[in-house]
Amino acid sequence: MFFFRFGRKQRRDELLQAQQKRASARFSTPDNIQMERLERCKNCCKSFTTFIFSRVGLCLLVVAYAFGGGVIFQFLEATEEDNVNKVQQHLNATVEKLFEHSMNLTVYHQPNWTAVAREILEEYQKDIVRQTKRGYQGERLSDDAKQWNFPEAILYAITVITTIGYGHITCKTNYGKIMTMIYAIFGIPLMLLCLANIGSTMADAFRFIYCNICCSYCHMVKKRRNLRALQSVERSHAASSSIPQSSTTTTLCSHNPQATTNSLEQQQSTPNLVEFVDNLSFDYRKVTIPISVTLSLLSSYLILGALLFSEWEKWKFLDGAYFCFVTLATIGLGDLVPGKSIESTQVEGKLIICALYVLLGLSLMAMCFNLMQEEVRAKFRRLGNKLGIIDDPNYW
Amino acid sequence: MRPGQVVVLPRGAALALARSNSMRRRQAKDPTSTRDKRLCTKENCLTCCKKFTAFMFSRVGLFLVMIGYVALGGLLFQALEAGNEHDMRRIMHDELTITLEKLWKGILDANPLPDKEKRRNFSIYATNELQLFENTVTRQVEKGFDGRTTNSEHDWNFFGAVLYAVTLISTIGYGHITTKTTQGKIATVLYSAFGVPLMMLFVANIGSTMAKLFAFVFSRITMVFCCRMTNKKKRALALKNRQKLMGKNNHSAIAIDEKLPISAINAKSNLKQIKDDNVKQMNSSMTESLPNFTTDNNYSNELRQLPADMRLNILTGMPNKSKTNSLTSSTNSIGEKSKDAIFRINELIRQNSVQDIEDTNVDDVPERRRSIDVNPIQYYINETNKLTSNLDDPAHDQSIVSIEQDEKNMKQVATVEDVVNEENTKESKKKSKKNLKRSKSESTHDRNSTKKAINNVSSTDENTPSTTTTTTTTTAAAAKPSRRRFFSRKNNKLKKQVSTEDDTNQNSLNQQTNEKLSHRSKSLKEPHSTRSSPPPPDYEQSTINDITPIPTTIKWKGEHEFYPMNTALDLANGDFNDEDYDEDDDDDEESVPLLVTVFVIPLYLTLGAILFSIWERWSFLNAFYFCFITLTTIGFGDFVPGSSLKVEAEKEKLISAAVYILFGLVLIAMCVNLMKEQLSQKVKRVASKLGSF
Repeated sequence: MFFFRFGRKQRRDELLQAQQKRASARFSTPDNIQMERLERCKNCCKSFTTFIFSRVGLCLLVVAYAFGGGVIFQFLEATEEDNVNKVQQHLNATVEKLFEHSMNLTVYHQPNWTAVAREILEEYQKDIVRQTKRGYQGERLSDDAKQWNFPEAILYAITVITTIGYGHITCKTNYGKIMTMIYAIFGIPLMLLCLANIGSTMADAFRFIYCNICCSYCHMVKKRRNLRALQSVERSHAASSSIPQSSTTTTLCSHNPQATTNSLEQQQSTPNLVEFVDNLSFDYRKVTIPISVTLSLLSSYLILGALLFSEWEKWKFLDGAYFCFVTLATIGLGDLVPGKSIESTQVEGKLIICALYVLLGLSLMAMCFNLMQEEVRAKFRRLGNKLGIIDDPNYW
Repeated sequence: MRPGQVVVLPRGAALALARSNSMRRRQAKDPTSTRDKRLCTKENCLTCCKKFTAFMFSRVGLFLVMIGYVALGGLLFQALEAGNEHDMRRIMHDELTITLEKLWKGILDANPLPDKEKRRNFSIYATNELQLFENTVTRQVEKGFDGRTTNSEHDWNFFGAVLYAVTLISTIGYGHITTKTTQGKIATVLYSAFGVPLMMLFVANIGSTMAKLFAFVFSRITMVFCCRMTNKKKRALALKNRQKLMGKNNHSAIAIDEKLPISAINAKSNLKQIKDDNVKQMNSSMTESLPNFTTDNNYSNELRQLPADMRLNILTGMPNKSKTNSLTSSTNSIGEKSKDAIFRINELIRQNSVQDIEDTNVDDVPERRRSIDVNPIQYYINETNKLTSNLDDPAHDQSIVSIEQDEKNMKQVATVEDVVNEENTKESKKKSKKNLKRSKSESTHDRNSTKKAINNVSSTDENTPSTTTTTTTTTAAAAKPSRRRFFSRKNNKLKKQVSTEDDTNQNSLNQQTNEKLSHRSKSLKEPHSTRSSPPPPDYEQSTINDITPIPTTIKWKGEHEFYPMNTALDLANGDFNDEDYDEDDDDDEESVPLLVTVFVIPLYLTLGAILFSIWERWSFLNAFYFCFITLTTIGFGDFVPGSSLKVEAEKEKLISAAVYILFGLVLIAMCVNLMKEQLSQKVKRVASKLGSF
């Protein structure tokens, strides 16, 4: 996630410098037009780079990258097809083999025959297993179901760059394998950057929503209390200069009530007042959202996905939840992949929606991590302190 | 005799403080031990528990936990899935036998017919049978059949399950074998829900450790091979500079340079650290004189006499000064200066923090700063150096006069504080026991808010409990010199870079002496010095420990302050530490170049590719592809060791795959750790270039 960090820093730098440039450009009168044109070109370039590293630009970049990957992989792997009819060929071959074998025998003795026939049959069985794992579902004559259609290729690209890696379809050609590696090298950092970016944005947004809507009541109460406190402070301030008597400053100065002199207290009192005023204008960024909320958000997203996929793919609910979990944790076992079962229709749309589900889910995960981070860290530190063990911040 | 005086006067206070602390501890312990034995055992149990947990979260503990977790996962999944697999295999075996029987019947039926008829008849019959069989196989594959017959070994043997667990928690997820039962799926979800964070923790932790190790080894190697010349040149340059700046004092150091190994090392450090020149010399003389009782230096006698007291003086006296000054006269220049310095420090932090600028709360700043690179910390150190010198400069004369009074004051305050902060200290004892990080942040926090100046007394109280479990850990501290060595070297290097600007500030003698004091205390590894007015050692220490969190060393340092009786042990250790501390200044390699770290991963990939291509009879490209897909945790699972149907699965292969994955992930974390800083710097540079072109 460090990419994200310096990405933002860089962006900030760029923005700052662009502003400075603009400010300087306003003052300096340009000598010739060419200089100005160059300047404009530069500005254009700069703004483009800034846009690319902005949130929207990153998202667009990722989407474009995924689409490009889809196109490339489809192009590379489209020739490597027609394993659907391989099963039929294998069956015919097996029958032929069995027949040949039985014809070659001069004496019909069952154990002898069985020993060889078993090997042939086992070979056939292995072949079926292999084909089934590649997506063969028993449909003998499905010409239209090309494996590397465009949605499949996009899903493949997304599973690569999100490191999910279902493996339900994989590249068979050498070019495809090399391309996958190159694609992953550039795609994974890009995806991380984008996810972290979106995650933080979404976390901010969620925090904002949480503060303004969900907790509006308790904040109202708090605000009122704060206001009352402020009024009392002001009153006491007006009444006597000894501010430590008021409820808030005593807590701060309780360490040395005797030693502090009046003048110092005076100094301290002003920032306290400022603090109060700051507290009144509520900052949603400082709000920590309880872990239960984020966890319930994640689990609800999981359950939603489970319901959706179990409805579409005729899976059991547990299977749907299992699929969603394995996907969102980027484990990607690939034993359950949408658009694979025999009964499924409109596979392409489903694949696209699956890809969207993955992207949204991962950004949601990033958001939730962003929200949970501080909370979990604080909790663990408290726990560590309670236990008396060292809580090393480098762990987190 | 100025520094001597400063040392002598608060000695009594220091001893009293130490005694009172130990007394309090004894008092706290006594009732529980005498009153109730069961309580005592309970406490023992609790401490045992604590130790155990602490160990669990240490590096070794984490490693063991990881192995234990993986083994547990292996057992669990084997238990859940082996039965299912066995049943599946048996069913398929039966199915195959039945099909064979049918085919045999078909053959017998077709036998008497003429040749052409025979072939046609048989093929029709066999095709039907085989299609039925195929449907069964397809159905069974959905349920988890993998094409292996009963003769071959089970997929869900222990090692297969271990590999499955590893692929699960590292989020690789080959999917070559997957759980088929409902319990197995639930177990998978739960196992990975806990395992994935644990794995991340493990990888990050071990990765950072390995990064340090690698950087250290690399720097040593480069130093040996190619950096000799440049080092010499730099040393000569530094020598010139130093001579220009410091003059006489350093001649002795230069003279020593070629003679003794230890002194040579120390002297080298002297040459490098222009800023701390005098101090460093003190260090070297200290390290030699204290164990050997040979007096090279004028100061060494006094220093040898009361090292702990001196340290304690720095610990307690200086905040006192500043506090009293700022309190008694509100218009004191020192207070303003400190405020100014604080402001400057904050400014620096603000500039240097790589994280968000948006909310730079003064309290948050040290917290955030922790996670970022060393540069801001170094700035911090320098700034605080300036600050302390500024603070101490006018206060020095006063302090010598009024030091006794101050001590009295402090004692009074301390007693008051004892009453008031009883609960506080109790809690903070626990906290500060090993938690240097936190105390550091606290201290910076306190520094920012000068109101809490008096807290430093209680802070010293806090530090005392750390002395309890110390002597045993000294060996551990000695065992891990390399890491600290490297990072202290790094710090020194950084310090050197910024030192030139500091030199201008070091003009007056007072300042120098102050610096000496503080730096000597630093060299003696004093960790928690003061709260309100920060001497540099605190920062130095904290930065070192910041990067290498070694609780043992922290504990050990705590011992230094409050047990001046243990001087023999302390000095031995101090000598040792000083040695490698100074030794580290030797080489300039602070970080591994990007090229090397980038080179490490392909090397590992190629190694794995060769290994697996031999074992699994894959082509080299396929094996490389497998390694890449594995280490990026994509994990398609089209190539998995031991899962191909041609080559029978072997336990060694599965285990070696698991080990390969774990080590590779750690290696990647290491490389990322090493590259992080440089990469970010480079990108920043590119960005600034883009902005300015």
